[in-house]
Amino acid sequence: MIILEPCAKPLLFLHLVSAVVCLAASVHLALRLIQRLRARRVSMRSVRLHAKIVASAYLLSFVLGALVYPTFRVRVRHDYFDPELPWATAMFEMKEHCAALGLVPSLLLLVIALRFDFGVPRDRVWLPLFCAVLGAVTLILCYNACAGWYLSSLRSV
Amino acid sequence: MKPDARESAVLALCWGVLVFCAIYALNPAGPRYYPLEGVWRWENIKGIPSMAWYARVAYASSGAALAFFLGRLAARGLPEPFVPLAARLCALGVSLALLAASAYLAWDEYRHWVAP
Repeated sequence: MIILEPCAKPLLFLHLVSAVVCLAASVHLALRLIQRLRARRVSMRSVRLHAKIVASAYLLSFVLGALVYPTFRVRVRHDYFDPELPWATAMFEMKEHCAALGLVPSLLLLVIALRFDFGVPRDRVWLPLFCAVLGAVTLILCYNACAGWYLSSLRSV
Repeated sequence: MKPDARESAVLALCWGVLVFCAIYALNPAGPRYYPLEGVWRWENIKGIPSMAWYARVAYASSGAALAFFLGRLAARGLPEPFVPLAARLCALGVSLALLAASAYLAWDEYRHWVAP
């Protein structure tokens, strides 16, 4: 018996939910920031709220994915993807790499949002970094969501 | 303006991102989890499914944590005029590190699983 296999499906469902929340919050944060910057006024309240949601949902999604992984590794990847659809294995491997690479940036996003106020001139020097990190995290989330949903349609735990 | 505690933390976290990307891409040898047997082994036994990803993330995270602590100490000594420049370099450095690591990993997976 593979560890956590009996609850793999509920864990995968929660992984999906947290990923959707994270992606939605990330896109919403990006749109809000663009809107505010164009209006030349930045309210950090909504930026901080969305950054907290992105960081916590990202971590939750990451942990849930790590818990489902052993079952996926055997029942999906070893039994089906590796022998029949190696490109699907490559797509999944890239998904897990992207998830790992986005871990520290999601934390960085949270720290910048909580500790800085882009309405203050001194803190505005950190805005390019915030935008770069937000862009990277959003792209990672977009790829991981699309790859995850598509691979699940091929075979799931 | 010397970097304050917030700015030191952000600069150090940027170092953490760079180190994480580097260690993760380099993929040092580590223990592998064998899900069918529920054991950890250092060797990669062909034909039996195993997972190196946990160790890979652990190594990279440990390196990033060390880089963060060392980076915080170094950032406090950053000369006054360099904070805005450091902020811009961080934006560029973090973006390039993530892009380079992703591109390398994508190429590595492609040649392993897709290329003839």
